[in-house]
Amino acid sequence: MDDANRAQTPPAGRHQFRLGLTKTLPVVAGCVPFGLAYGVLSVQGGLTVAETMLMSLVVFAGASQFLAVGMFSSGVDGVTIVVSTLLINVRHLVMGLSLSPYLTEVKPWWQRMLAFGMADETYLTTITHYREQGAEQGSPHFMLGSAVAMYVSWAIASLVGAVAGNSVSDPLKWGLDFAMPATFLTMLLPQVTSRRLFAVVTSAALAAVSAYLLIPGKWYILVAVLVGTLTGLTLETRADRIAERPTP
Amino acid sequence: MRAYYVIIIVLMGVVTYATRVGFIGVARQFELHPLLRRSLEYVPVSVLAALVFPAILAPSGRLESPGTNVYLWAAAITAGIFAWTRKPLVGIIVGVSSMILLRRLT
Repeated sequence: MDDANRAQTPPAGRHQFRLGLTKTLPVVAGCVPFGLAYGVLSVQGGLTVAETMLMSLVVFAGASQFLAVGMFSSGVDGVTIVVSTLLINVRHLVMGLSLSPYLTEVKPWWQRMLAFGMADETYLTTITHYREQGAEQGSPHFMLGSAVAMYVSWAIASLVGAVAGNSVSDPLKWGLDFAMPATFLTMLLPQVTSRRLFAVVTSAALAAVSAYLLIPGKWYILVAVLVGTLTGLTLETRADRIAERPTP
Repeated sequence: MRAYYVIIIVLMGVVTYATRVGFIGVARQFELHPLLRRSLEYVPVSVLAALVFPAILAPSGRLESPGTNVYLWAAAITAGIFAWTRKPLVGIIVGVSSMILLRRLT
């Protein structure tokens, strides 16, 4: 265990936990309209308030919850719903993999607990924080704080949406669906710090939009990761080769 | 709660958790190949790009012309305000407010 990790005694852990909570707040603000919309659509689609809440508490994955609600209300069989959920969430594997180097000193039970709270939003907030810190290891308390902020607000937003249910219209129709991309945009811009990263973002964006238009589901995220990573690696290797070439 | 719904929802939870926990401990058990470690550097920005651009350029599932796409305008406003103030939350709030206004006007 290195010194940075040894310093993770309770006070430092509590500090990181609080930091995780506060750093996730902008993303939380962006996800609240989606939680409300999920609750509204779920109740309108025929699920009870309790079932709507159970899904938010047990599944805790926005896109697959929306999809499941739509499938339940159009009478799709359960096996298809579960398999669709699996397929839409395959992207989590890549996110977990990219977090794993920061969590090698963390006990397996910590990892298993943190995994439950790894949604797109908590993953992005956490890994951005770990990279800004520049340390070899990330604080598990930070990720826990991020996950708690997201989990609690997702549950509350779902509940409010479900209770308001049949009396309101879909809040996303007012334009609140823009809150999420707006939040991610402000997370993305500061990370474009070099020409290479600009190329990575451009290629990932092109790949994502093309895949989004052509392939159903959430596969466009994995396609973007694949193309973005290959672009980054190619440019990195080329830069290394140019640097190694002897100057004439 | 109806038993059928509870079973499906719990199974959804199980498969979702499996995707989350699947690879999170990989680096603890195995030494990652340097090439893999380097490629993982590009994952977060690629995920961000994937969550931003389709939502802005094809908000209704189809590509929209930039002239009439209010999402694109609102994104430009968000980016501009954020670049100016350096505060993410200010950019988001102004961006979303402009989006709601644009929706009313168009």
